[in-house]
Amino acid sequence: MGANEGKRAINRVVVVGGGTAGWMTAAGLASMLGQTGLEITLVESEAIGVVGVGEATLPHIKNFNDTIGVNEAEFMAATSATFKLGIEFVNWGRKGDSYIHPFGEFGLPNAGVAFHQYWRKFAGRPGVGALDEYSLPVIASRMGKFQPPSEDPRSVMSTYRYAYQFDALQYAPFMRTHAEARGVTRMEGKVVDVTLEPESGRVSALTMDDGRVVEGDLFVDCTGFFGLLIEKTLSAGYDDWSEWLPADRAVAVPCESDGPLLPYTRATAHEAGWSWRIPLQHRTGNGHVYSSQFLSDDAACDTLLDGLEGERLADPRFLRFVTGKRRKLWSRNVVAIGLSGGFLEPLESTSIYLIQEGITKLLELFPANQDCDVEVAEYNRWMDLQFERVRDFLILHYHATERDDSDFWNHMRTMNVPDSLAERLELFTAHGHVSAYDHGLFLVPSWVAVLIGQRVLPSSFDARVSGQADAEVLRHLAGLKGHMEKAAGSMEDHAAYLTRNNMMRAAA
Amino acid sequence: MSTERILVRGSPLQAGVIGAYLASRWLGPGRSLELAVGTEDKATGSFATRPSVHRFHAEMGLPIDQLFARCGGSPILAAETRTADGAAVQLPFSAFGVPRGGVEFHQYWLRASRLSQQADLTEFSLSLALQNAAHKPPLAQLEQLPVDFGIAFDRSAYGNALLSFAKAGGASVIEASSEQAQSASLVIQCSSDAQAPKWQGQELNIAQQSGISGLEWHALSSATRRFANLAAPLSDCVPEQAEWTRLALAQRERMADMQELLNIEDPLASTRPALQRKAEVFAACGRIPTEDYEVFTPPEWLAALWARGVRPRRSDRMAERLTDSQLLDWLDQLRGQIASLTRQVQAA
Repeated sequence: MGANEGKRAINRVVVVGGGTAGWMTAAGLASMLGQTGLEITLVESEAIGVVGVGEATLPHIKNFNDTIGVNEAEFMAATSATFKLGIEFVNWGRKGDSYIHPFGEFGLPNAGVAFHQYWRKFAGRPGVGALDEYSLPVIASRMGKFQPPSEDPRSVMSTYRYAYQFDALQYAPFMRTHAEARGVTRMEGKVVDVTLEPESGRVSALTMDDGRVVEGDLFVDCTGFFGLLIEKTLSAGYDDWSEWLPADRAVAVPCESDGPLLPYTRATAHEAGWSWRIPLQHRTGNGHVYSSQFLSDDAACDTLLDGLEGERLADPRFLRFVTGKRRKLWSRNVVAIGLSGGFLEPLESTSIYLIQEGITKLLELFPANQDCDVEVAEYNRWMDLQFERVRDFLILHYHATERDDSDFWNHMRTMNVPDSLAERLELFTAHGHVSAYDHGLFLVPSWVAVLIGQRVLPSSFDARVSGQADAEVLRHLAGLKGHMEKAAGSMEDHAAYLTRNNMMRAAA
Repeated sequence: MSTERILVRGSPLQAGVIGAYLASRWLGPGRSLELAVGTEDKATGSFATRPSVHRFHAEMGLPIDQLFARCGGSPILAAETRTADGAAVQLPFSAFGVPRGGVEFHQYWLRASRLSQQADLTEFSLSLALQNAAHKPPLAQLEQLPVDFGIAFDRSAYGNALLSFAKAGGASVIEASSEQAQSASLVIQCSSDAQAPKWQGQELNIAQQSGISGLEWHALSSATRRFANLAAPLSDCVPEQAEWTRLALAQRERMADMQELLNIEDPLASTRPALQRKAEVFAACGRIPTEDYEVFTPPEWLAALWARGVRPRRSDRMAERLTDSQLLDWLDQLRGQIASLTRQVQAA
């Protein structure tokens, strides 16, 4: 008799909640495990609204879409999507500042020394310019251009990646179509009761408002902040990180598009938080994330509405949240994916990345039966690490500032940060070296972009830079900048690219 | 401006590896590099490296093919070691079989072996097939194959070649007992005992490693490379010292994990958290969790866990996407391709 025989096999997955997280999970499981006989049911209620999290994404989503067989042009048209080459941060280091965190490299390394080290030596000299002037995706973003990267590693056109900005309310239905075509069964209705196995405490079934009972072996909680299974039923607990990230509310409103279709998201810092601007094909998504400790709802809403660049298309919608994560994202036979698992403000567009990471890890560790404590522990370890590393990177944006124009910024600038971040800052401010890790979302160029973009200039630079003649380095910098400008200039206009490739959504 | 002076103390080979890299990647105006070469190195014979030897030498601007010819080079496709009870273990640098649909090959093999008798997992490793072949393929041919490889050099010839390269790059060799060899802005020394790697004040200690082929080289090269990559004025580098030490200690932990895996009676009972996790997760589902700053590749961990008798209780469910016949046919084809490729390489 095999080691797994005699224990209840996992052949029925029930996904609870049908927003972005729910349908991405269902589509991912169906695409990768549907052929193995896994039955996937998604229960959702049209009466319950969805938050519509994550209109802006990171380049990793292309891997997810490619893996589950999504056609890019169909996806773009169905979700009114635009391409995204980075995120512009306005007013973060100081009021009036602007930099772009690009999905790509700065310059090219030379003799093993990172490009920003050469730039640091000559920063401030005439003609040298800002660091992001040596980033192809930044230059292209500012020009409103887009072209997919080259696969030739020798080409400067290979030095970037791209993501998407899409309508989350259109993305979930698109994923639903994809999932249902691969065998996912959708059940409409509200869950009114959850049945637990008496001995193990595992969830065994859900009772719907019309009396139907949905049994399952593994449940994925995608019920958003409510956390129906992971918290309301299993009391997994929550790690509250508002000590470092005190924003606890957001107000969102769409407006008409005005001006060219920009291939980047904008995050503008305000008195006690920041606002997002996400350009889609048919509208612009806007929102203001703020701390209620420092700003009233009315004032936050006024700031948002005053900054709209087009006609408002709906009433402002308020959200409340506590930044942090569940103590256990997988507890017994319930896995929390999406907002039910935790919330980190969308400053770096990480919401969908964390959903994707949750799905990928669940697939990798998908248990054969209920005897899966090892898989559960490994899943939780991995996801904890992902959340914590994103958290540190978000804290950096608030802490690395010279702003002293409000109580909020004074608090953020002077607060104690996690040791992991403090050590990283100390290393960088000395000679520009960046502490790298193997497992984590944000790589060295991202840390450099935010640190230098927010005026954290190293007091000196890598000692090896001095080994090269100044005139030679300056010539190299000028040549590189010109080369990148030329390459960006040769790209197609972003909107024209979408149109030419049949990626524009047909008018209703 | 005062001159920064680095003094390297070690055997000819240790001083050669460290000195050659620093001569090409650190030495410059206002800096001097002196190598106090001791004579205590009794080791002779072959000196194994790992696949990162290619990058290390490319960064130095010292073409590997020249060294290969001059220093009696021979390719290595797997690290060699022994368990506590004396059993030989080979840790291949490259994957067993080929991954498919995002799932590692051994998961398919596990499933297939429950369907029918299968050849041993090691027979699906091109690295092991080439490592154990009567004749190793020439360098140029290996570079065309989908395998990573290090190189074994004649220890003495390699050390001398690197010392010559260091001298040509501006380093000077001094008597270990001379007055000059007593102090410097920074003294780099290799310790053969279990002393922890540490960079503090004017001393940087590289803890030597042994027991697995290639680790001695890895400890030297990675410590030197890391030092060069954290280049800062030697009088003002406290954060860099802390970072160097943090990374060196992390790598030492990963090496210690492997050493324990090869020697402990029951890997699942290890008290080393990362090793216990690797063994438990592998036993549960065949996946091998990795840490930051791993030294060994996933195929090496797989081979070591396998050699120590850790067996997954099940295969990955994603490996069930192939039908039984598709799976068995694919494995047959793959095994045939590896055997055929090995024969072709031998015949060439």
